[in-house]
Amino acid sequence: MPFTTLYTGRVIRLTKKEFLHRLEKGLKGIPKSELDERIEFYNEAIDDRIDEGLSESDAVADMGSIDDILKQILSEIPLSKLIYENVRPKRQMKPVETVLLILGFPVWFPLLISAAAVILSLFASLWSVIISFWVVFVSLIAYSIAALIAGIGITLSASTSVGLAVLSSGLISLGLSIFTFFGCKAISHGTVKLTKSLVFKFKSQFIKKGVA
Amino acid sequence: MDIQLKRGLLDVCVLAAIKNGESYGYQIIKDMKPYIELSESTLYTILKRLETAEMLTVRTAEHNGRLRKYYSITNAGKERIEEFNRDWQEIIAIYNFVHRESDKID
Repeated sequence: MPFTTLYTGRVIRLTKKEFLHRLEKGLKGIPKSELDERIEFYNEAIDDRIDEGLSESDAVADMGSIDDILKQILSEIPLSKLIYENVRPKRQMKPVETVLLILGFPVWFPLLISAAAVILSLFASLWSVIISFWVVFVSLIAYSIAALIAGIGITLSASTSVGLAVLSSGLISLGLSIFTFFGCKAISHGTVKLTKSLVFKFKSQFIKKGVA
Repeated sequence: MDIQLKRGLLDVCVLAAIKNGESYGYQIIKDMKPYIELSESTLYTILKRLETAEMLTVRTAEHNGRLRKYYSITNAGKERIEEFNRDWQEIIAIYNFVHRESDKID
């Protein structure tokens, strides 16, 4: 791929300086030491290619698109690290800020707690719906096993008609449980995917992807 | 391929690339190129992971008036390659079995 594509869809060639600058801008949210190390790594990679006789823009193009690089880094870096890096104050707080922070504690602390509680309860309710679906599945299975055994027992020992009715209800329950199983699996799978993409979106808020 | 499996395999590939002497980023990519295409970003992640696991060590040295990082394998890294070779014998045996059994049905 000889070109680097930008968000706009335009196709342009970058110099090493431009490439590293865009990368640095796109990675503002990650810890400084890690940022420097990554920039140094790409710097060396580009220089090594130029030493081999590649032109500067070809060497840069060999790195792949900045979008892809940013996406990959974003998916690898832990969320806790991103939050810590962005919440941590970048400079010493002024005395007046410290005072305000302490005085404001009764206001911001409950707000913070309730925001966290809202997010937590959203996830809890989502997962309890899923768990209840699985419970339906398990009870269908349990009922069908019991009904099959009881049905055979009743048919042989007491009334044939009642026994067969119980037996057939067991078979119906077994059939339903098979459908429920695939439903449950699909819902669980979908929720895991949804959670993952939500976490990814949340992370994107911390890394400014302003490339252009 | 399963992402966890691929990650483990790539780790061993990078270790193999520095097994017979220290190497640097671009050289590792060039050595692997006939077999596997590896991007710089992926290589960075692998090298970091292997460094944290103490399977390789890094030193910075001057080259052509600039700095370059050189990676050398540790004993733990060599042990990982050995482990991979042992595991692989087992995987080949499993593969042969699967292959033979599926041939029977066809």
